[in-house]
Amino acid sequence: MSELYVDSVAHSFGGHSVINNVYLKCGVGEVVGVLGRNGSGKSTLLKIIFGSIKPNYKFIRIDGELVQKGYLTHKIIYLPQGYFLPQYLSLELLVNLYVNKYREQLLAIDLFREHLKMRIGDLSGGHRRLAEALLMIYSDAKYILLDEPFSQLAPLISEQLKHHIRELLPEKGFIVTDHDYQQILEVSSRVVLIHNGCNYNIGHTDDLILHGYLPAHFV
Amino acid sequence: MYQKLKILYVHHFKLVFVLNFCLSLFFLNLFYLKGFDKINLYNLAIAFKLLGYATTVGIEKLFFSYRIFYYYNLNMSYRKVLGYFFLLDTFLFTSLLIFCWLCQSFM
Repeated sequence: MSELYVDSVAHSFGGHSVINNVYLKCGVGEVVGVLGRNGSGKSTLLKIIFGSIKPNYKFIRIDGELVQKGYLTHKIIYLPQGYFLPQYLSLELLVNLYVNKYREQLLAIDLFREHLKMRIGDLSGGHRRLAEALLMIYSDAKYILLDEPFSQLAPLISEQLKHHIRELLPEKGFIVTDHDYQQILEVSSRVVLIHNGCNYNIGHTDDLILHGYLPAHFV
Repeated sequence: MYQKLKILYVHHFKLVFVLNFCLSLFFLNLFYLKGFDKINLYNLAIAFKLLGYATTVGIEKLFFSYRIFYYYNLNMSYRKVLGYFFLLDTFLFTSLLIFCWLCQSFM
């Protein structure tokens, strides 16, 4: 069963409950969009799935196997909100570190073909963000967690990123969060809203208004 | 995994490797001069090597927030990265110690 299954996730910071009983499922070929206000726990949820935060309680199963730390399974990879790769490393070295199976496809992309010998820190902010996102998307991991991948990206680069997500969709599952809800609605096959520590399935923009994520005049 | 570890050590552990290696060389020199039968010298060497490893952990902690996802996305935990590093350093120190002891024994 190719599926990332997360259930009963509960976490609190300093006695304040951030996430309470969150349930999420992501299969291969699926993009699950996660929306929520600032501080609603979107990033926390992704970090819990990835294993970098130890929650009060969680139940995570990947392809039928119970998992404690996602990053040790070789099946999950996580793009954090900020830059996370050392700026003095070259794109070539990073490709060798993170990408095996899809290396040829990644190296065919203009950004990598033209700047392969360059250090990632020498790229512009948007290109650096795109390079980090593409390294994660084209990595060998089966489930890709993308935390605000569209922030800092120009519309044209956002489109490129969505194209690459769709390209690898038949072989991977994606969980994507962002504050740009239109990008999320566009790229996702299913959308979930985290509100008051719980998750709600979103079928239409009206649901986002109903749960207080969007103001009423947005329709 | 070993290829990834090699790249990590070459790019991020040069300073701590040199520090630990210099400490090893200092004690090798002491052993060579004082002899290999001094138990207290072994205790001192172990204490200083542990201090060296604690310093290494301290230095790595400084970069923890910058490198956490870089390592984790390589399926590497801090325990693994530092554990193999300490193992390598201990192996190097022990090998050099035995080599020096053999050299002195046959000279």
